[in-house]
Amino acid sequence: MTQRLRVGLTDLAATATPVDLRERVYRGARRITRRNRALGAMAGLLLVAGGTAGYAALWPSLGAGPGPGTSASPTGPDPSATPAVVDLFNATFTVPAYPGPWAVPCPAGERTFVDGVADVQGGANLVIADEVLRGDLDGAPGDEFVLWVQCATEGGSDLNLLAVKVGPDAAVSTLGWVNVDADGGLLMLDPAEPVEIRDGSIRVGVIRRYDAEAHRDKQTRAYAARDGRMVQVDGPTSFAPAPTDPAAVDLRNMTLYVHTSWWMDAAATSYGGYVKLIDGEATAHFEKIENNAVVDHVVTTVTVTDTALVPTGEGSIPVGVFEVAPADGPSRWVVVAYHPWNGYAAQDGWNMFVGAPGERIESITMEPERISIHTANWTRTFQYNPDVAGPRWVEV
Amino acid sequence: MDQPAADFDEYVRARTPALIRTAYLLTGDQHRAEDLVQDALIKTYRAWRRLRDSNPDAYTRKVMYHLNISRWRRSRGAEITTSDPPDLIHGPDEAGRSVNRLALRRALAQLAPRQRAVIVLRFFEDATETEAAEVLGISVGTVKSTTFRALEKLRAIAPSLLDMEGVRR
Repeated sequence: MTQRLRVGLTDLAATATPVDLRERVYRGARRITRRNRALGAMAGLLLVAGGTAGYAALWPSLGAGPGPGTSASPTGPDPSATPAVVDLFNATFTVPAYPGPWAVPCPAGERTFVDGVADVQGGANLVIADEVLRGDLDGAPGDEFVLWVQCATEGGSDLNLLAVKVGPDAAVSTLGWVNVDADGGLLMLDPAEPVEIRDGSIRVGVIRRYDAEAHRDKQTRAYAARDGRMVQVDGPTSFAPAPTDPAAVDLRNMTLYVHTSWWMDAAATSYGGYVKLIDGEATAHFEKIENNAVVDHVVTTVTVTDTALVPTGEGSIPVGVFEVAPADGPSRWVVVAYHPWNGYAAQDGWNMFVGAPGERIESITMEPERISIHTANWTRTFQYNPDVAGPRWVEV
Repeated sequence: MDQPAADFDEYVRARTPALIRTAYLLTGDQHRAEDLVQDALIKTYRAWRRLRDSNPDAYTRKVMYHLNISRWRRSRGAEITTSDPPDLIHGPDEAGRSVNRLALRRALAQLAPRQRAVIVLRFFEDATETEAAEVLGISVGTVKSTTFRALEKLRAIAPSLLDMEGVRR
């Protein structure tokens, strides 16, 4: 009885014109990678299968396509495992109140995700990014899953980590938010450090509490599921206090954001990341940025090669010379001034000078409101600029 | 181009024509079919490292069906339909086949997206009820009932699509 329908469908389908979509697919994938960098990610399809995965590591914003420079791909079904049983991107489960100030637009409740997006009363959405971590978090048989979730609303959140468990009956239960303090306070994730599930816990790089002062103290904390909820099982439980006196700042022993981009050369390849310096050295994952998009995460060693405290009209400004050595290329030397902000010693510096790759800065010398930078071939001098709307330091 | 990238390139080159044919039945439009396949392949691309050694085609098809249903929900059916499909003409001549295609296309456009997906899976891709259930993420029972209702609707819209009765020579 349906033979006629079969013939008709085949005949109709044959009228479709075959086209080569390869270039469109690659272009679209690149566009999504860029978009994810900006606002998290949109829906993807995850198939949850049985089996185990002992180790998984992932950053929240990079695609996992086959091109170079991509991250690990931890979510693939084990070919020997049970066929797919749950699609977390199209499932209904209870999501606890979003941590931080987003508890208001995204309160606790049962959410139905369709293609990774769940409507929340009041116009907000919960969005699951399309990279998912999988591994053992509770010591019991079977894997747990960790989703990157955004509360998408006006002034939407970053992506934060939500742990879930899939039961034998395919029911999804929530283990709770991962990157939160014991009192529920949201911890800001280091965007460049990989999140890893290893040895029964998930390890995350955090830099500060969202609700605390703007001082950063980079740490690694580990969380695991105990009695059905996520708890911290390793790492520090508090952050170092914020220094307020620039003169007391020790650039060799604190958490800084260091990057090699220069305000005059924003389109060039650069590296940036948080480092917790100890005796002037640190190694961390940095974001590799090309044309304003993160294209990779690269292990980078930072060394403080010189420092100065420069008297200016706004007080003493700590200045440091940093050698930034990414694993995939030559070192860059940068000279950075750390101007105080909001009463605290700032940890985001003003890049006074960024050398060309491999161009070594030998030293700096200081006079009031002036820094001279010396290489083997030249000396250049920069003057403090009191106009806060302009470049903080200008070459003279 | 590294090996995974080369494998993906070859996969897209080989499978795109078939995927577009299926997408055309799902969307009824060449351009939307291309967009649908493109978006499904982008998702496959992003998951390629974990898919390439398993069954990327199953993944791509599954994504394609889901994307089409969710898009329809958002757009509430942008496809333009007419209320009455033309009568079918039985015969091998090209004019008759064109009319039949038009009738089928219009009839499919009047199905709900899941009904349409079930029809394409079952009667174009020759998927079993179990396979169709897996692709669409629904139970076998739902596949059965959806198929029944879809055929019932097609029969009501254009009886000659299914049966010999009513076919005009």
